[in-house]
Amino acid sequence: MNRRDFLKAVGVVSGGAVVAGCEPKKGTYKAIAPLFPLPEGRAPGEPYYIRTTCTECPAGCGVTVRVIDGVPIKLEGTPGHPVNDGSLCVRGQAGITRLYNPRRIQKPMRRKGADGWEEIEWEQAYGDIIAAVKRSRQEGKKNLYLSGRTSGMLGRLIDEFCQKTGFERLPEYEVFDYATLRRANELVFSIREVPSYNIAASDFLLTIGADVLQTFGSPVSQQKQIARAKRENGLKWVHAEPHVSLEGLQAHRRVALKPGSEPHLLSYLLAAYGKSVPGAPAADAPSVSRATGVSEDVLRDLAQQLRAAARPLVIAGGVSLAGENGLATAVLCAQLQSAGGMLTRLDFSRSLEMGRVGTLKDLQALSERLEKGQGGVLFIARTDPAGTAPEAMRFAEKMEKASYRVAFADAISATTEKCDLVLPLSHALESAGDEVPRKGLRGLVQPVIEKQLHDTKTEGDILLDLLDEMTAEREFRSFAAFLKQQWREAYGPGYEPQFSETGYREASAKPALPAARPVPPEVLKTAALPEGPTLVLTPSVRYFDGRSRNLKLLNEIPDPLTTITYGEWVSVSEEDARDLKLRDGDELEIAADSWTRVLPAKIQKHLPSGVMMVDRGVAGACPTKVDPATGGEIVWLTGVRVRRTGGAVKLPVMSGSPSQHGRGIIPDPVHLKKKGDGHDGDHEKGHGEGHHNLTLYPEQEYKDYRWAMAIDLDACNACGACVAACYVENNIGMTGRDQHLRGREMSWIRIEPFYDREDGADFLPMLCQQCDAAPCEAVCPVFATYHNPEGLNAQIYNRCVGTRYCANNCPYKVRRFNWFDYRPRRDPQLRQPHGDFTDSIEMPMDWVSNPLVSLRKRGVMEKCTFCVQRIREARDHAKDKGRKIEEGEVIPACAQTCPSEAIIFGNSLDPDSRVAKIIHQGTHRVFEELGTRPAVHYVNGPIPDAHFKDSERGEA
Amino acid sequence: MQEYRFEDEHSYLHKLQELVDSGVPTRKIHAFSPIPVPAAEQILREKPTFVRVFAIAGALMGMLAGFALCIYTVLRYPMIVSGKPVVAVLPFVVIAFELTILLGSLATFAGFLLNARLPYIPRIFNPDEYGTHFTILVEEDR
Amino acid sequence: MTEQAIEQHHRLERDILAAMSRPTGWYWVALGVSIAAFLMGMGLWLYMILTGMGVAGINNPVGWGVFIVDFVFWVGIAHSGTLISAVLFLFRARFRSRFNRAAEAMTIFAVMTAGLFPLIHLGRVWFAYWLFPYPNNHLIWPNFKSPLVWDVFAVSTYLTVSAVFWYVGLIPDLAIARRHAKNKIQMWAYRVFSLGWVGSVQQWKHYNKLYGLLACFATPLVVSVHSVVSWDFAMSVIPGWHTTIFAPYFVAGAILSGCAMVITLMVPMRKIFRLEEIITVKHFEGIAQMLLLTSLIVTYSYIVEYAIAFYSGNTYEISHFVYRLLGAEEPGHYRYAYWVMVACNSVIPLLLFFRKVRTSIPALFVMSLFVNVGMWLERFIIIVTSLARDFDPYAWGLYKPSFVEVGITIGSFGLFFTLFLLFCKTLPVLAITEIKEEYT
Repeated sequence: MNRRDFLKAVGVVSGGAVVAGCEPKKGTYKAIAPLFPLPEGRAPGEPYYIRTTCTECPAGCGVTVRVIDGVPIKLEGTPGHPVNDGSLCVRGQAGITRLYNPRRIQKPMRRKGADGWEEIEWEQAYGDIIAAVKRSRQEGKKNLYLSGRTSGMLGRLIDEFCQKTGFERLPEYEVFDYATLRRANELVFSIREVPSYNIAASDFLLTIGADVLQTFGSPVSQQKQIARAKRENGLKWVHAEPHVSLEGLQAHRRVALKPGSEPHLLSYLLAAYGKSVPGAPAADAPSVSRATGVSEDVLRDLAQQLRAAARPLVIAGGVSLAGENGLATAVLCAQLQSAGGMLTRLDFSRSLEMGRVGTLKDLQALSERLEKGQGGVLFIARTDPAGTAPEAMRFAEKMEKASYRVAFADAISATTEKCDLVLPLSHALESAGDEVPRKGLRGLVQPVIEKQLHDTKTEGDILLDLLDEMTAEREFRSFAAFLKQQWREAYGPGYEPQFSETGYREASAKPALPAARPVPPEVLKTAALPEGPTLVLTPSVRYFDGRSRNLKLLNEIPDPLTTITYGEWVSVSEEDARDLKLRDGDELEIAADSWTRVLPAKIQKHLPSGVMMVDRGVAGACPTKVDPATGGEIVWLTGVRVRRTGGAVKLPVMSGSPSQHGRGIIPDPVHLKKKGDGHDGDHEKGHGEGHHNLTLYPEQEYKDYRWAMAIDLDACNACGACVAACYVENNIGMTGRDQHLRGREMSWIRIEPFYDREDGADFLPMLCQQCDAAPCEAVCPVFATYHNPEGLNAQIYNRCVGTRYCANNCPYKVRRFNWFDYRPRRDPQLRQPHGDFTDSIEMPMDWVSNPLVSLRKRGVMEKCTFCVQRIREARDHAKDKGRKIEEGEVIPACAQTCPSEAIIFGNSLDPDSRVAKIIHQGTHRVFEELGTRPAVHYVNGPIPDAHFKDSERGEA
Repeated sequence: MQEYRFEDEHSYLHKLQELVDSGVPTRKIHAFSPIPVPAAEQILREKPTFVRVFAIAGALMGMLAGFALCIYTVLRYPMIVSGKPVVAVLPFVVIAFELTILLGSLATFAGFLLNARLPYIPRIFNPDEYGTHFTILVEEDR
Repeated sequence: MTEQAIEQHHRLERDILAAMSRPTGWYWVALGVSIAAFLMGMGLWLYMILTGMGVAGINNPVGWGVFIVDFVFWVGIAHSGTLISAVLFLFRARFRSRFNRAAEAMTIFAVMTAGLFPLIHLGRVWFAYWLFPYPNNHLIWPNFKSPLVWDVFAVSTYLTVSAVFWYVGLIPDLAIARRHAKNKIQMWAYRVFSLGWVGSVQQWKHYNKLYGLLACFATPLVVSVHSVVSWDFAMSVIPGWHTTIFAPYFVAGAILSGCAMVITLMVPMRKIFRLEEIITVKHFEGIAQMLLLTSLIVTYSYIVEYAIAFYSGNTYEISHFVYRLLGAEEPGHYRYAYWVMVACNSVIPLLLFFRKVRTSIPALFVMSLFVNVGMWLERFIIIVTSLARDFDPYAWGLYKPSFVEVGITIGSFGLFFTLFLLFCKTLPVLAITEIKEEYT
């Protein structure tokens, strides 16, 4: 399918869908004026790139959008961006599917009857709001403006709006509000902020509960720093945690703590530095060991390592700060940071921009006011308190006491369900704005798509419209104009080129060393966690705080620990499973006081007995408590009642077995040969034991290129970003829950967890190994797959007749068959905001299709080919220049996005290429003994003389 | 035309022998039997059949055709699979073998039809039926 | 040659051709049921073509399921026919003549049925013709290195040669049927297809040579076809498939299942068409002995399979074969399939060592049914369990046949029996001429 057909198809399909969608007005999408002039003289169908900023989470990674004919195709990290330097996480990669998400609200909706909605025009919506405002003025009620974390210039506009219209702007509500951490830093350093942690500069990292790879702080940046520190400073990473998390399994060493015992560990470590904090728990090894459940040797060893390290760093966060002893933990951690001379690596001059994010106390206060019926018109923007706030707060009910409720949202949520009016927000790729992830850094958000998908507006434009209507004064034509004026004020004239070129603006800030001061001992008093089963809500790499739950792509990608894709589950320790006689999928009823929930169980190795985990993203409103000391959320539900319902459901677990059954899939050190043991650059010779390469036939000769890949398993964090990138880049079908239960996922690259080690687990990204002697090729009766002259195991989709012999014969099982037509399909009822996931890619998801990759029909086999379309692009480009493709010119989507740069791709025939060097130094290849001679090489880091791009930039 | 009918094979053979001995030229003797009677062939000094020649020719042709087909086609559009050489004889043996059998047996059948002059259209329209009898027809020389 | 021999010749013709007389009600019932089953199968296939392979139970990693099992099963059934007629002809086995006609018919119908399944299991059956070598504008020919292409050649060759062999055997009998034709249509059909055969000395001369040569061609063919089918698996790298004994193992299995199917068909046929005194217990005993022999060979193969797996010391092989024996602790892991198979194919046939069992028609009939089931299971175990657990534990999976697969399987039996029933009423079910020869 060539570009033109594709565009035609898109035109027809989406156009048709639109017409069928609802009322005709849908068809007339407004064109969006670009914020800055677009690249000049671009030919139709030729991709161009626009810088913007990811708004999936507060980390604010720089994003470069690949656009073709005004349609965004793929998001990629902006190279050299101070936060993410070219990488994106799994959520960032999936961000583009939020733009095309069929569950987006497409028009202002007014409540009609009990639980009905009617779509209305913006004018009517404004009319309603103004009427409601008048009414509440007469009733003498207060109009309130509650929003999620707001950064950048939008905040100013909201202020202006509020003071001009007499709204009260409330503290913002975020689920991850870092209340405890900020409070602790306030107590110790008198700075109520979350610093940027300079991990890149440290050589020993101790993280306590902080999910630095998933949601804590700036995950992509932290992943990158960890990977680089591993390579450059030989960073050793220890993760202490009261449950089990990706971090624990990825760190070099995992220390399992008893829940709530973090302060004991910290005061022990403080003692190691000869510092005793008044009020802190006893620091003698035996009692600490008793409290934490960590053996004394391990404690001693840990302290010793910490002391020995030249530039150690300790970070406490995540669930460890979300318990009864959260504040004590955070404070002691701060003390340790100062005692251990780590303050130089705590950069408060670049601390996270929390805007006006308050704590649950503020939300509490709000709900009390609402309770008293003081609430007039209530605006709730970009946040879902009804769905996420502690269930005891009953926020949903309190909300309804406000006289009129308006939600600014992009999709239906528990909050919008309680509103009288829902105003649909434009997606970041449709809107102008800016995002300030951390102090001194402003990321540009600019419209990328040429036409609006739906009848939506940006919050800024809505506010300007309302100002216009209510105060009859209109200063700015649009929010974009407002922004430009603000930026000009901030940066002076002539800021545009640099801003639009790089997509960000960073003010040079000189870090000020914070000074620690003693804290009142009472904040340090700790309480032991009551016995009995405990339920903990864990942050989620896929769903963040739940905001990404409605993105099908993120549901399609397995959870890294359990490999569950769709649906909800509760992770149960092996011991508890044994006691309760549980199998995967058996339903558990979990009850805490009034709240009960029935969830299927999934047995999770390494989980301490008595602790159960539920993914934050799937939990919804839970009976969490508010930490009186900090206003933070306490996500440890102690003393929950658990019983088997007797029912069972099938869980879409993608992994066929948690163990590799001693098959040497994960390389042991012995697999990795030392450099130069009798083989000479040629990566075929001297690999595995010699006899593996015995063959009747002469080896295939390659002329210019032999594409190969090396994957550093030490760097790989199993975050799944590569998987998401692959889905988006290659138009991979999203098959849905039902198909997953039948074992019909379509992922070309997957991450396989193997829980064989007693102290952790191993993860291995598995993709087509592009074998030299590929078992799949010879068995195809029609030459639909063959070995191309550059070593790729090519798959010719339109030649395939679908015998599936190739997939059967693939030892790596990386070939995917189109059991049904998984191509984007128009299906009007899928376009309802309430629609559930279905087995087809839904409208208008087909917009995301990459025109350079053909869509596979039903009945054909498909697979990874190292993003051959990118290789082709690079070759054309090189051909124009009259030279060969150079190192780094071709980067597959997976390698491009990997936050820890674990995937290295290149031409193994070029002795100077990084991949060739790595191969030369000796690598591990999966199932090499079968004589398949794969082109994907696994190394267990560190990679020799691998010069990493811009390692001096970024946080380092 | 003189006709002898027998109920049993023995007297049939006896009569044949008798006719041949009495100097009737074998080309004038037409013998029919419901079941094969090899002895009759000796008596009538039948020449050995040519069918086997067809068999051998067909088989050889088949084998050659098999190899030729495989080798020609892979050379026509050479593609490397599983690191095997383009012209890999081993796998082609199977094809060659199957074609040997196929053409071999078809040729044999064809050979039989030719030699036995079948199908014989006139007899299809009005078949001479000898039932379960052993029959001998002798042309009288006029 | 005695009087009573001549009498016998007449009775033979009468009795055997009597089978072709006007069918009874039960015949119509049987035919109706078979045709209905066949049509249902076709309907399900159409449904699958229109919606996608997904309606079958196959998935990753089990890309081949019941369809391929059925294919191998039917090809196996197809083996006894040509074997009985060709190999036993060369060995001059006496009991051959009572079975060869029906067995050959069975062969042809079984191959036709089997031939459907490679088509059914194709993801894009509308491009099936790409598997055949023909000059085309893609300039691409089939990949002759692929076992699947070998299959295409082997099976189509087998079908053609078996058909020719069968027809050649029919010619003299058609000439007999010509005389007994009851109506014009029959008469003309037999006249045309008997090619004007008169049984002259010359015709017999060429005929015998032809029959002998065809037997010589067919014998290696029989061996080759199922060897090629077995190479569909043996050529792969999958533990449980990738083993050198597959060819003989499959051939033996094929003959075992073939003989079983012959018994399954001949016992009722003998009863219904009252051919008791033509097909005697002695003849069945002959088949029973072959059944026993092949069953022993198959049992031996089972043992060797395991011996090799464990002797190899290969992790994948060993763990796979352990899995075959014991399944996994979770349910739905084909736990008992293997033991049922062993019981059907290896244990129960041992009873044939007893003359009493060998010579009891009902016992043989029941046993043949067991063996049929067992052989189907054997293919299921080989194909499905091997795929369910191969190299990468992450990719392990389970397979459950869907109603489509079950329905199409039933449909295939429908097709087979339809064809066989039609055969019974249109052609001499026994080789009259050859039996006559024996009576002289």
